Amino acid sequence: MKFFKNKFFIIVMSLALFVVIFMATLSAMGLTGPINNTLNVLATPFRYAGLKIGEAFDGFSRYFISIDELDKENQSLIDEIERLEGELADSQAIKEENERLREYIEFKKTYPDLSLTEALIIGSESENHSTVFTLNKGRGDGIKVGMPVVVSKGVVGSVCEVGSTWCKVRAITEASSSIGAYVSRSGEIGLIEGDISLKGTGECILNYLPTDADIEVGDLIYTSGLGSVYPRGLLIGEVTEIKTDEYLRMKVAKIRCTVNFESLRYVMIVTDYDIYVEE
Amino acid sequence: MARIKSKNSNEGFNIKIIVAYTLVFSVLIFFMTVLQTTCLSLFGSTPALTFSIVCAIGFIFGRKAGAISGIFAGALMGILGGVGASLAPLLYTFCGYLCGAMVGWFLSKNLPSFIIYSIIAGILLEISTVIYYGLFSESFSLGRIITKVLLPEYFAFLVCAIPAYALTFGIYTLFKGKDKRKRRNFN
Repeated sequence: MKFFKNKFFIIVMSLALFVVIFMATLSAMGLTGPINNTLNVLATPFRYAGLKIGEAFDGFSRYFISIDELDKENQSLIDEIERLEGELADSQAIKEENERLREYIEFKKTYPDLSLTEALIIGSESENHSTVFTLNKGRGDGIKVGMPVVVSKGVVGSVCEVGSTWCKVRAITEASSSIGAYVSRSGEIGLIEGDISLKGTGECILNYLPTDADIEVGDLIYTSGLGSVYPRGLLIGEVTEIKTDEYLRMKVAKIRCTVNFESLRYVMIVTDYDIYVEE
Repeated sequence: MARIKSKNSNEGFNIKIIVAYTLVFSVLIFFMTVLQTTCLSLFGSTPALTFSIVCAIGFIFGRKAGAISGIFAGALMGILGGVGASLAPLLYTFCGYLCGAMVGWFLSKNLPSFIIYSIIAGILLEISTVIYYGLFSESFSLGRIITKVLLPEYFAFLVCAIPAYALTFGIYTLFKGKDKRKRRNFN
């Protein structure tokens, strides 16, 4: 009680109360303008200094108060990145499918008489540079043994075994494979066969060319359609080397296949085509 | 000249020193008020710099100095803070006086005592804030005010109190030793 009965305390609190009432009254009457203006003019240089100090304070305190916000923002950004990566993967798959379908359309335009069924390679032989592939189409999809398998770049091989929902394809580079072929420039006819020594190289041999056959390095080799396995005019590969076998009295050419067997994913099975009849 | 009674007769200042203190602390209070009313933020709240200085003045120089500086600081806060009706003059005056009185009654004049006093003064500051929100806020939610306003303001004040004490004590020490003639008590 002595504290509140102190004369100085009473005087000074009364003065403070008067200041409060006075300022509130001036403010209500709108008369604080000149005082405000004067003090604010005096305060302007201090405010600039204050702004600099304020920025330093803000950076210091923001580290403590916003750490939770930063953590949440970080987590939401991580989630966003994962979502975008998923979308990117989806768009990549769509892009690949788009390219594949474009190639399919171009292939169909080039070979309008072929009936094609798309298939996915779901397996291959366990050895590296496998030349026998397993596809996800089978008897149920109308696949039969002997049907040619192609991609837009060229011939892959032919169906050698069929199951209800799968089939196996022997590539043209397989030793037991043979395809009738011709040289596009000169029309020379030969037989494409796989060679065990060329396994994994993506190459095969063009045999049974006469010794005077008109064939050069760089010539393109196509399916001849003879033998009724492959339709005529499908690209096989390019001549890379020519040898003459004196003993067998024939020319032999090494062919680099246009198809990259190691990067195959989707192929087309030729389910129907016009059989080539030689005139 | 009138002499003011003091417990400690060694604590006294002559007129020149009083004028020097008045000028220095007036400028300091003005600067702190401007700083507080500029874009200053600590823990998401504006730190009560002026209030810290007033408490430090009351603590070091006594109840009368604390009360007078409180009126001046409160008036400045009311004008520069842009708020028409402000309880700052009353609160600052009361706390400045209380601080000086507590030093005389309970506390020693040292930093730990100042911290204890600041804790109490901070509570008084928050009570005034609650009253202000109760009077002028359209929607009053105590829980929200405590977490969003009172606690940040309280901690911001406590962080600023120690530097304010150091600054005030530094100025006090600077002038005190300069003139020893005609000491006047200012308590």
